[in-house]
Amino acid sequence: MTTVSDLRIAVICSSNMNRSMEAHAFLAKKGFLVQSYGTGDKVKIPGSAADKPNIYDFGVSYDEIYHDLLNKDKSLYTQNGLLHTLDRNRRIKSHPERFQETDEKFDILITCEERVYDQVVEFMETKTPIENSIVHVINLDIQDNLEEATIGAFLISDMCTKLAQTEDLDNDIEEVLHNFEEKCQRPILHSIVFN
Amino acid sequence: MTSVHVALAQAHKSTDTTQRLHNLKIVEAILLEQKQEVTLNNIESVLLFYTDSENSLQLFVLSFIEKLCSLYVEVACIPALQTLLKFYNTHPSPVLQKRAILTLCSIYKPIFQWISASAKVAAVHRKAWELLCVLRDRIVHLIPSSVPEAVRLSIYKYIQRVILVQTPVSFEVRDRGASQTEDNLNFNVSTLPYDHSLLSRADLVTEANSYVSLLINYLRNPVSATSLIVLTNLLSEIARKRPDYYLPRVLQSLIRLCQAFPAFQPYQLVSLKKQIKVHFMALRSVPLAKDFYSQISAIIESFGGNKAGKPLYLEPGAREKRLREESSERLRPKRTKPATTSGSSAQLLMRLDGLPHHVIVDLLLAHLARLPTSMPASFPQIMTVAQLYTISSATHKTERAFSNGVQTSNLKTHIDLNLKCVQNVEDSSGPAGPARVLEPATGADPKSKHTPFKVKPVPLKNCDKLAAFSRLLDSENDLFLQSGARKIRRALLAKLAQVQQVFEKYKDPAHSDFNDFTVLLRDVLTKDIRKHQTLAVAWLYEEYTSAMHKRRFGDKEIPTALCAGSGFAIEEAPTNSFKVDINTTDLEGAAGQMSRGAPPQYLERYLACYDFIVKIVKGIVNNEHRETLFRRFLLEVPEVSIEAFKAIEEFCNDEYRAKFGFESLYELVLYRPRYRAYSLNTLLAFTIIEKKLIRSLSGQVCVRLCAIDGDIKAKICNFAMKCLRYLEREPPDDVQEERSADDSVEQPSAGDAISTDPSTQESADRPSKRWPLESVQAYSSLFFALCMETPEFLKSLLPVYAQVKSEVQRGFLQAVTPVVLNFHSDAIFQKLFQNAPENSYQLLLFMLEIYTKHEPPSEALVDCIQELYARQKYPADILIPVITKLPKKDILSALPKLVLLREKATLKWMSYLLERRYEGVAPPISPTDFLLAVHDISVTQLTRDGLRYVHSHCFEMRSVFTQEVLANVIQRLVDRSTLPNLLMPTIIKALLTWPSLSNFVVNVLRRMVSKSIWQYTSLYKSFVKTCFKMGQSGYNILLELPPRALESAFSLHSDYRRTLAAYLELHPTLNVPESTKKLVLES
Repeated sequence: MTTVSDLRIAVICSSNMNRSMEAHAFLAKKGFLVQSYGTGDKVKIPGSAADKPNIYDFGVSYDEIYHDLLNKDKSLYTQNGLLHTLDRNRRIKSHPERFQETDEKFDILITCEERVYDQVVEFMETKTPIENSIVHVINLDIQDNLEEATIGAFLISDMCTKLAQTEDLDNDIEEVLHNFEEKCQRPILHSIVFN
Repeated sequence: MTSVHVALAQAHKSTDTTQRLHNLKIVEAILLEQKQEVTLNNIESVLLFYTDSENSLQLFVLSFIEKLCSLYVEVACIPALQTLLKFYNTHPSPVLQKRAILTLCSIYKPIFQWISASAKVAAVHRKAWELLCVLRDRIVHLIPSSVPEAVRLSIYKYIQRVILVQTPVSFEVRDRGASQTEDNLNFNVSTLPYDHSLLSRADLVTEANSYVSLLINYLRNPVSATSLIVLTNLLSEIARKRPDYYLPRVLQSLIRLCQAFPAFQPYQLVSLKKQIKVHFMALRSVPLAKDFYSQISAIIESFGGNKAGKPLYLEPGAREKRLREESSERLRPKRTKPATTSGSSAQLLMRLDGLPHHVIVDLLLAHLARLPTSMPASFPQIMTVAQLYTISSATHKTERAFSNGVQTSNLKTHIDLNLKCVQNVEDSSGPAGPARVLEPATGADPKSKHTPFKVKPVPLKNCDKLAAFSRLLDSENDLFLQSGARKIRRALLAKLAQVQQVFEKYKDPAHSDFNDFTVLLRDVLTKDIRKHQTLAVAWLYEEYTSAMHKRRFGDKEIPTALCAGSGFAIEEAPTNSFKVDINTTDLEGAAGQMSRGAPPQYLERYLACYDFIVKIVKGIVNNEHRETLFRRFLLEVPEVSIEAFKAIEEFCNDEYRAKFGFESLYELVLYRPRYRAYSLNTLLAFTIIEKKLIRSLSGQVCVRLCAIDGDIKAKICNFAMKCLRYLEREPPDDVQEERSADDSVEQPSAGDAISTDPSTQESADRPSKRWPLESVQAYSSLFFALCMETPEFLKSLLPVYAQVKSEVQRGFLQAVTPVVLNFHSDAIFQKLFQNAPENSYQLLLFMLEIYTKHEPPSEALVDCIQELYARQKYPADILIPVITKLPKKDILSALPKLVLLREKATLKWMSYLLERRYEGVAPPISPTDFLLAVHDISVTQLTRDGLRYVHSHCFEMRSVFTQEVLANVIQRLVDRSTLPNLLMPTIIKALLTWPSLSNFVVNVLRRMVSKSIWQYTSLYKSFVKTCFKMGQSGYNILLELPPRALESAFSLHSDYRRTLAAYLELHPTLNVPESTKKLVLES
């Protein structure tokens, strides 16, 4: 499949399960060079009660999680859409990945939550740059549920398309983000770090 | 070799870009893997592709340069840098330009490292450095131009790289051990040999410093929000990585930025604030940020602070608050233990805070007693114990773990580890002295919830603690690299040194050996403080924290829950009893008699330790000329003692170390606000001493300080003015001197009029009350040093000048010369002339003259001067410096006033007016016009002398008033309908100066007869005289006079008739009218 842009994009949420994976799927379909990550210590997904989440390590594959949940309570996890999500995820990549553990270099890091944005910026600040290339960190707040994740993925895709259309991303990003913020009426955060 | 050649040939041949790129990548792979293939030819062949029009190939070349320089810098650097330079000359597109800058950013360090590491500097090193400098300057100078945003960001990054490479690694960063980045581990400019023939460490640091200023300047005037965000990131990284060089400056600029954000989009502002918050959270844990803590905290709070960040340094009250919060958290039932990314040392330290001194010491000692010959990597285990201890339910587990450890080390029969005191941690109000803690554990304490661990006391002979301490101290550096727990370990050692006072207080013989540890530590520090400098700092903090608690709680028991244990906590700042407020300091006080109160009692112990360390580091400065250590113990310690200031004063007084001494004061003023007043006073005291070099150095530092901070500038300026005004007084007895030949200074020319001033004349008449020149220089040097940077400050000099004695005025005139020569424009004069006091006119004139000596005055200044002159505010002297730029008509109209001036002044203005004063600027008036104008001035009693002097001087200027000029002037004067009064003097002087003009003069005299010269009584006498002096030609002219005129000529001198009669007798054939003949011969 041909790519629409040379921009290397990463979409990052907390658990690399719902929001980032939804956007990953959306952007990949559009032909972007995209990866997705989580920044949390563990992969946390809803359980049978609010205080009983399902917690997994980042190394555990989507497939294993899928089967684990299937065994635990098939009807519950089918009803809340988790099995469907996991099924989609395992078709995109094998397992959730943690952003802090990757060595990949990106041009744009899109975060789905302010807390994640903080973590990403802080992490990038403490890392010693190797390539010295410019990385734009952009935050778009998306609630962690299936509907919002779909809307969020659409917005991210729209934003990436606009960013990809710029002649020089570093020159034009301010204008693009300003227009995008006005259009989508969602608060945006933007920072620049070095790879 | 063949494969490289083949691939290169194919790359050249191929027309398809993809194919070419493929071949080049093959070449790259071979070159990067096989060193023998890396030859200059091969490299250059690849680099030549930068000329290709395809972006992808150019980008490949840039990436190739990066990779090659990281591996084979010695071969690749010159061609790489040359290629980059040529690349710049081709004016690449912004994308390529950006990439090229980032490439240079990546290769800057390896090339710099290679140059600096070479013991012998060869031509290739020099060339590489030159190229690097050329490229660097080019790139840095791109910013002010309207480069695209992306290029600008890359340049910022590049500048940051240069700063980091050229600045030595800071103490703090060096201490981080395991967390050090490759950036710091691989290269450090501090390893650069002092005698390196190409690179000077001082120059590199100065350069880096100027780049930091540049970035800060861009931060103050950001082009866009993106630029600002990048700048805050870069500066923050610089501050984190090189804190002792840049942290305070960066913090100040960030704080200033937070006080007034530029107007950006709301989302940009939110992003920026977030970014700054992250930076502040990171920076406030650096020891040097201590003095900025309150400001940083306030800003973080206003941005929505987050409690997760725990600084090492805590403000008054904050520590207690945190401990209270933590203990309440402990009491709360815990659901699940949150996963933490890593147990940072700061967190561990905070946890240790909950432990009373003696427990930590026991824990440490138990561990020390089990020490093997080399330090164990298991040292952090002690931390595990401490960590467990933070949860009350784990206390029992802690005891068990510890007792097991001790038992397995075969020390169970010797060590008394009664840990029942742990209950006291949760009950901070209860007494927890060692007396209770260390009681022989013969049985279970009925009040204790936990089973005490029973072991017997340890005899010293069996447990050689001192040997253990010794090993611990010796192996410090080895351990740090292995264990990664050095910060905690240092804190514990510092506590061990400090805890002595606890046991002293309880007179517990069981722990008397703690004194020995302090002694041992002192020995170790004396032997090699450089190796243990951070431990020494930690020790000082420990002592300080303890002193603060002592101050707060007096003689009461130290509450265990509030025990300062981290070795880094700071409570209220002690009153600095020796602070001197500059505003209230009298001049004599500032000159060296500053009052110094005794240090507070509660700091006695801290100050003893600090002074001990200061003594050691002062020795290092004196003997080894290593100053960084001393600097550290000034900037990073909680309290600076008077002894330290005395040491600085000693350095300042020593010409060889004065520079370092003043640098120390500079940093104290800037980076230690608490000592600002005192440091500033000390610094200012040196600006009025008699040693010229030291005075000048201190003045330079003051000027630098003024450029940084407005408040400091106000104080320094205030002091400088006080000093200046001091000279208005009568000189004190100790500086007063009799008038002597030695102190008479050659008076500057424009100052001649000083003695004509009645007020100063009066004071000059009193020889016993004179200021010596040295004193005048001393008291005015700071003022003039400030004026060098801020010429507007000279305004304040004028009223003082008007008041002081003549010798002081002379001193001022001497000192003001370099200031005036330093003026960038003459606009300052316009300000100075406005509202200048009357008596300061001579000073202004002198300054104006100095300035116009080398630079022609601007039109604005000439207009201003003309206006002042026209308003009759100043005499005609004021026109002299600008006379060359005055219009001709104005010069001519001012001439009658100018001729009235003193002789010296006249010489000056005539020289300015008639001789070429500035290269390429023609005199405003021709000599002919000038002399004609002089003849037009009416001769009165007032103007006579001046006019005569001007007139005579014209004939002394032979190069200006040539015979042609004079002939022209005389001719034009004679042609006039009325002959001017000065005509005859002009003719006579012209004849005397140029005797060859005699024939011309005869003709002129003859023409004068036709003009009825006898009717001009003032001229006629001279005319007759001149005719007689001219001999036969003159006689002929006289014989042409009408008889009545001739008769009046004879009445002037009795010899005239006789002379003419003799002449007529000798030449009887002359055609002379009969009446004339009769008149001449009748006698």
